Amino acid sequence: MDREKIVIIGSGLAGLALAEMFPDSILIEVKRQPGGLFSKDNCPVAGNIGSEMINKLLYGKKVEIETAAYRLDSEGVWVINRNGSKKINGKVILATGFRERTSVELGIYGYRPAGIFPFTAAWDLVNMGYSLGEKVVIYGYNHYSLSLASKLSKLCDKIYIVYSRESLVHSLDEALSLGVDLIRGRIKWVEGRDRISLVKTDSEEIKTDALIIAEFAPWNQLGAEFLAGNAGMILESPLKVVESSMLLAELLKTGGNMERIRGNVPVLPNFVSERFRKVMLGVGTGIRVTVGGHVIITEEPYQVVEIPPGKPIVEVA
Amino acid sequence: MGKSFYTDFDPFLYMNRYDVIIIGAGITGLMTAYKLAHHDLKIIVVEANPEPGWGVSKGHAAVVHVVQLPFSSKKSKMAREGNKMMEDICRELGVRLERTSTLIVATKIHHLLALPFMALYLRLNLGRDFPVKLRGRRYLRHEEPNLTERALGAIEIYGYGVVDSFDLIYALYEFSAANGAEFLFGERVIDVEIGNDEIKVKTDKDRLLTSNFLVNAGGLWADEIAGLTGDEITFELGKGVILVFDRRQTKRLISPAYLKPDPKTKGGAIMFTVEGRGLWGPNLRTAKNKEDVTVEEEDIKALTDKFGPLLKEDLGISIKAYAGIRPIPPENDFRITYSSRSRRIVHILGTESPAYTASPAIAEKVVSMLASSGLRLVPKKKVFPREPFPRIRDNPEGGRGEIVCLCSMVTEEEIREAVRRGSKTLQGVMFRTGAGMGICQGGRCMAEIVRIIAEELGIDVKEVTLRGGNTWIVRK
Repeated sequence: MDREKIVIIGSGLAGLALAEMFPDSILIEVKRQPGGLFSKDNCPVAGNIGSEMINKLLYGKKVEIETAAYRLDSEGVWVINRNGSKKINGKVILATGFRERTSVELGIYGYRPAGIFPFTAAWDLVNMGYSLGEKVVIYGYNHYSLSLASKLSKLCDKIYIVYSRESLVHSLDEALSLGVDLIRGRIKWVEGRDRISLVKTDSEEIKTDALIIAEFAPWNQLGAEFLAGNAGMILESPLKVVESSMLLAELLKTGGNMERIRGNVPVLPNFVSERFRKVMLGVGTGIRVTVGGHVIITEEPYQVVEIPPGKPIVEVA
Repeated sequence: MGKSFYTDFDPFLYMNRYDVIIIGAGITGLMTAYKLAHHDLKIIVVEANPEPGWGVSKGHAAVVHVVQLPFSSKKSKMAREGNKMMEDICRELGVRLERTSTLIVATKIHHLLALPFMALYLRLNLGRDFPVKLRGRRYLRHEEPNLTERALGAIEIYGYGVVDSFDLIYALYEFSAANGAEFLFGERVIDVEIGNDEIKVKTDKDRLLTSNFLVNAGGLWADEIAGLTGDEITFELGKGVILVFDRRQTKRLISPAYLKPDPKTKGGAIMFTVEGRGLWGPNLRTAKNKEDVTVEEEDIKALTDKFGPLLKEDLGISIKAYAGIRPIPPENDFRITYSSRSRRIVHILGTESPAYTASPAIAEKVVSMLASSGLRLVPKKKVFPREPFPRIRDNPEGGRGEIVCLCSMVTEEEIREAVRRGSKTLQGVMFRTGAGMGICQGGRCMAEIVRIIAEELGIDVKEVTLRGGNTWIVRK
């Protein structure tokens, strides 16, 4: 591989795992604290706890905090902080996490009162020690919403999780054991002039004073080529986030001609070369996927597969 | 610690008499205050909302219009006058105004055949100030690569603009305040008494103000204010929904060609903001009441069906949809008139689109009406300029700071500056700085912004609201 410097944007789990594999890399973080979302995540997935993994990976790492990446060009990335702005040349990898899907994407209509939180805002506010309401509705059932629900269960009277898809890594029983009410359906309407007072799903009405949107989409904020972690595809398991970064690191170290993977199945890394063709699939168990022309049925969530030589296309079979 | 936002109230103020009281700090009230603030006058603006521009103006799509049908209407003429005046005002206040044109696009052959007649009609009415050109397919392919292949031809009308609409609102407020205008926010006018030589105005906080002249710039509530002065008007409430995208889709404003335009609206357009976000809309429906800012599935469907086919595939991601309400008077035109009871009272009624564009002309008319009723206009020897709002995103290479909002590139210092300039709420800070208006919908920055607002105001985070009243954000 060439000597081009690796510049990692985002010091969350995916970014830290990459930095572990590239000791000479530069690690940029916009927040005051490194570690990202997982640094506050105490909800285990198959025995792995995000915050513990962050603590281990942070050890010995140099992170440029309070520094924002704002533009990419062919040579590298422009960053800005309190000292001014500068350009860092190198191969840029975006590990900046997911975004929440918007109300238009989700088909949520009605009023726009106070008390509607994108997941990340809710996560930050709860971790700052604030409560968001007495009766809280979380839209989406996944690792992140469950982790937030476990924090909220100590703060509010009632938590509802409305979901139309199940988590890839957590059973519904895990939510029930927290005392959460699970409601299958889609949220269609929000009521409330000042503070949110009611949400309507396709089957019921829920009186509430807070709605947290926990439906996610990968987010390539700066239009980067190489993506890691939730910026590239939604991953519900901290271990799998680390594993996907390991695959990307191996791909970059192995080198070769990079070819972008196409198709409608989320994959990480988002490139293969003729020398390294392993990718992680962003789907659960028992899904039929065509990987470079071969049909497989996944045996576990986030299965790692080898793409056969030829055009790298991964599609739902 | 920031300065107090609400004008620290002078307990003896009720004894003071104003030259002019303006009710409403939306675009027309502010534009009037701005004009009057250039003169030696004692004026006060009373606004029910906690900050300026949160009524009809908030729903505005930031377009500086040219064509408004029918051409003979007051709103059509005043929009064209206001359009020309807007440039100097934006320059004086340091507000971004990007000039652009509108393409009226024909995708059907009978529309294409009608274009030359439409162009002739437009030319006859618009004159030399706003050139009109016929455009063929080649021009459209080359100039607007995102436009559908089905676009056969278009009329291009020059002289449109896209303005930083929130910044203009805040700039007018800041300029007027810097030049002596007083502002009273969060107080609703509930009574007006017309005396022989003075007008008394009472607010819902039992405050009594007296003046020689009164301007009703109450926007959506101007009907109720008119009622207080013994005048009568009934508004039809038109609701328009605008869909916001994470990226700008076209270089120009794009509108589909119609053979029979709806007189109540141009029918909306594909637009963009100075920040580079795409906008579709508005549609026009009847609102149930003045608070009915709901967005329904059929609104989104109407906009998508109308504008989607005009573009190629890559439309971007829709961040949000919001609704605005227009006060439409029976004659479907602006009504700028003296009160039937007193020529010292001027009502600005029916300020729906294109009132934002027309606002400089409306204000000029109001000021001249006041003058002919006896208001003495002595120009100030010196006016203080408005300090442009600092924005690192305009020149990041030359700037420094800690970024709080990544989507719109807003620094911590900008958030603090917004609070220092008077924003006490999350919505106010978002409008002033642009923070939280991007694709992450404030997910990444909301907690930090709320923390900074609280710190700057010296209050607890749980006291910060979205937009005042019972719009609390967190609890302890």
